[in-house]
Amino acid sequence: MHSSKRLIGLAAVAAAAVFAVSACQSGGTEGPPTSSAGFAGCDANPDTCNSGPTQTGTGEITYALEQEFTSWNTTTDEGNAFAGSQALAGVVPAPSYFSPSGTLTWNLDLLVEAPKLTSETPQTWVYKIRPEAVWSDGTPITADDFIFNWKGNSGKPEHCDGCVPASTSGYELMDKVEGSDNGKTVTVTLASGKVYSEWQGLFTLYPAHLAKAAGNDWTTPKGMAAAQKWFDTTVPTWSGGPWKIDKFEKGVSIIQVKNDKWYGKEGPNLSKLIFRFITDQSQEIPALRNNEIQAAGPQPNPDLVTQAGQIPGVQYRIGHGYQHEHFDVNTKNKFLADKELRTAIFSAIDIKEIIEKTYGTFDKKAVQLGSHNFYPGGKYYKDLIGPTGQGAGDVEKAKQILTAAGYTGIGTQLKNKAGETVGPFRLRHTKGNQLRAATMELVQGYLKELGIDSRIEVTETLGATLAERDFDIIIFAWVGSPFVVGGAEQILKSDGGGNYGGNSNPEADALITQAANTLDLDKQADLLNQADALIVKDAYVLEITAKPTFLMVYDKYLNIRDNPTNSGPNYNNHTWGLKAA
Amino acid sequence: MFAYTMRRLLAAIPILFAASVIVFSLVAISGDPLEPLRLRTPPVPQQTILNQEHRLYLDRSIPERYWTWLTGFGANPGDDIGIIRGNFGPSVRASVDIGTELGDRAWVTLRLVFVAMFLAVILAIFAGVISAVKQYSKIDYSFTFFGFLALSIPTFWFAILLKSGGIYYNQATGTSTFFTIGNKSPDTASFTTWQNITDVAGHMVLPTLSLMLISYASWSRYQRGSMLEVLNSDYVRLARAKGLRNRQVMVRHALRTALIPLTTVTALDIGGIIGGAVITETVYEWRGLGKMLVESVNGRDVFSVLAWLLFAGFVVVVFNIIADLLYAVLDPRIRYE
Repeated sequence: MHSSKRLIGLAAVAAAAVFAVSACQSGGTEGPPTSSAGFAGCDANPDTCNSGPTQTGTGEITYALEQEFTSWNTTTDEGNAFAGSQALAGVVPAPSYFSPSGTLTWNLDLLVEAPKLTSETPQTWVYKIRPEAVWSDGTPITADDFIFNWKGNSGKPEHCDGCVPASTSGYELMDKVEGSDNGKTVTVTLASGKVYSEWQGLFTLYPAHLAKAAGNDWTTPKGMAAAQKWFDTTVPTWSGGPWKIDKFEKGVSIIQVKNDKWYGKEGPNLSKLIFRFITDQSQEIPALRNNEIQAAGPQPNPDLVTQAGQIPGVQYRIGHGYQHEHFDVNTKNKFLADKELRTAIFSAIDIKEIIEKTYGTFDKKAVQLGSHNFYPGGKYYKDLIGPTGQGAGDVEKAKQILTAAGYTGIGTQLKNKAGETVGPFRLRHTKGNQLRAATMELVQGYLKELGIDSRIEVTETLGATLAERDFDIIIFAWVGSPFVVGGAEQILKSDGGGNYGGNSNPEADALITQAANTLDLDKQADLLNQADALIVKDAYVLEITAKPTFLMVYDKYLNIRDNPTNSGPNYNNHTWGLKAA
Repeated sequence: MFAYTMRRLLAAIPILFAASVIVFSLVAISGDPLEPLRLRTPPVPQQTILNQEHRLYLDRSIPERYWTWLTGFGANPGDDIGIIRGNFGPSVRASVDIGTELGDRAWVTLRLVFVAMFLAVILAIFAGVISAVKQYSKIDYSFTFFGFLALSIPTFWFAILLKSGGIYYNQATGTSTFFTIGNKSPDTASFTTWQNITDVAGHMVLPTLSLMLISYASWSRYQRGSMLEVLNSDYVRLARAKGLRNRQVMVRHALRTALIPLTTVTALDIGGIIGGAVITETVYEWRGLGKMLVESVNGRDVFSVLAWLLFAGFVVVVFNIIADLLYAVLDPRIRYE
């Protein structure tokens, strides 16, 4: 009797195991495809691929958002979430956006023409708003909306008492923002002696008149704080773009329909745009297969790419974004303060192998990033790192550098000139990130080949770990954008808040400062590349690769395409449409 | 019975208090909720960070913070904090009201949990009783097999398998019978009543089955064992010897007594089921308590985690009391003074 029961129990366990194995295998075992399918033309024409004639005013699409945002005000710290900016891309107008190629594009639905600099001292530029441009209640979009945005983001107490802006960058330099021509002309003037080269990316417009109508006198500091909070917490029933929010269900969905007062030249082509919150990335594939969503842009991984390719009618694309994965070395470490040792370590690290075993498993186009500022394919990109041999995995060269620098015990137990044992080094990465864990295990091996012991430690508080310089070598990602000079000031300058490695190079600092004060983009890029060449020689940051982006969508939709910039795939969602018959 | 209930509720207070101290300390030392703000590029003004620290009471020591959360004494002007006053405190996400959030999420989760529990209890009683009555028969072996099978399959896998099954069914039939995300479709305003019913049902079937599995498997085994024990007891044999009808013996004498262990287990399991809902809610994208806990822990949102804990603790305490009260209904020998 007992044996029968045991047999049944064993059979049940075996059946469960079969279920589990079959479920494991459902994702396929052949490995992910190496390239995007229906978006093949996007490599050559990132801004126009997947385009064509569409039906107008019909059809709907459900786009998955991976993050549930809690604020409707994308200009505040709390509202500064990618998901929020995607959901509001067709509601909150802005003078410019980045197209998929990384090109800054003026919003000529909103503006009469591309704004021009009218003066360099003081830096002044002028926006001309189209007369047709109105909010959904018919109120014209005017200079007041620009002034409202400036004062809410300047970070100055005389403008706002209690605002927590997403970024004060640029706004804090403004001396005045003035309206003329019934508010349809906006003149922005920076304070004397101030230069802001990224001026073209400024301003996100919220309806100032509605803030006032809600009882918030935003011309006073307290009133401005209340107005910003009002936009934070109030679901927009207004719109200044092609779409208008029709229904919002917290944590579930946002349904948008055409803004009847839309003043643009095209669209919206679909009748309804639905955003659905799916916060667990792995649930997006079943939802796509079950047609509960029709498009999503998750962070890719091998399983996801494979499974997306197996859904009939779904096309996808792996793009390359503006987040770059890299190593930072703590130059304040007693041993790592020696540039020769850092150079040797960087030479021994094999970036190609790291990429092959991490991002390369699903992104065959992932390559070593050769610049701290620019990205492959960009106009100003130069491979400054490759020619130095850093990241080449050349252990022999690394050993030669160490020998020449007077190190002994190379390959066994490395000792410096003073006879001290080098290391052990603490290699740190964020907890739960498997790709980074695998990378650090490889780095541990490269160090061992030089005779350096190391141990891997995870961190759950990356910010504190970086700020306290609580690492010897650490891997993390910078979030960049097509605007580069701000990032360079932040991460490459000796006094930059993000220079966690503690490197100091006064010559490079001077070049970066000069670049930040230059409005000529060609000259700026040249200065940044000169500075970067010096920084590369310091061997304190070693780039790995630009992190991939991903978009999957049913092929019946046109004009939707991956946009790896912070404008995201929704930058043109009013032009999305069903293929014309 | 009222006095007993009150005594039990009062006895739960020190338990919840101790749990809150431990959880508060663990979450408070687990990380910095302002880390994303500190990491911002370009950096946010220092004053902004100081303002946030003040708003979240991070500029105070952990014991001070706990005291303020508990009593509300020393709160920042205009803040709703102090759990003994019914205020949960500020969330890391400034526009989130923890109390409202908890209420919204609890409705979603408890609906799922109670339906799953109800079905699991009914099925467990049915399977357990039949297995016991027909001991060592084919039907007993079948129930035993499925019981062990259910025990052996991880909930996560079962949820995914069900999901796949639902999708295949939809594709094979060309319908949208089963849904894999959320507890309802996004745009139901234009639905008829019948469409609304089928929509809710289509969203509930798969997650309910997933969650039900956790409990059904073990409860059916408990019920089988309990029923067997009762069926072999002297008083049931006496009842039969007295010539009572089989149905009367089974339902009135055997089953009633055999339900007592299941009542205990069900009450004890409620906390586990709410915890288990984390997995089900994640797989099916239900915006319930499980996801709230995960989000709060990830965001190091101490006050939100504590609100969750207190709610879960309260539910467990209430269900234990209900179980105790049910003993008196099921077992005439038990009376509360």
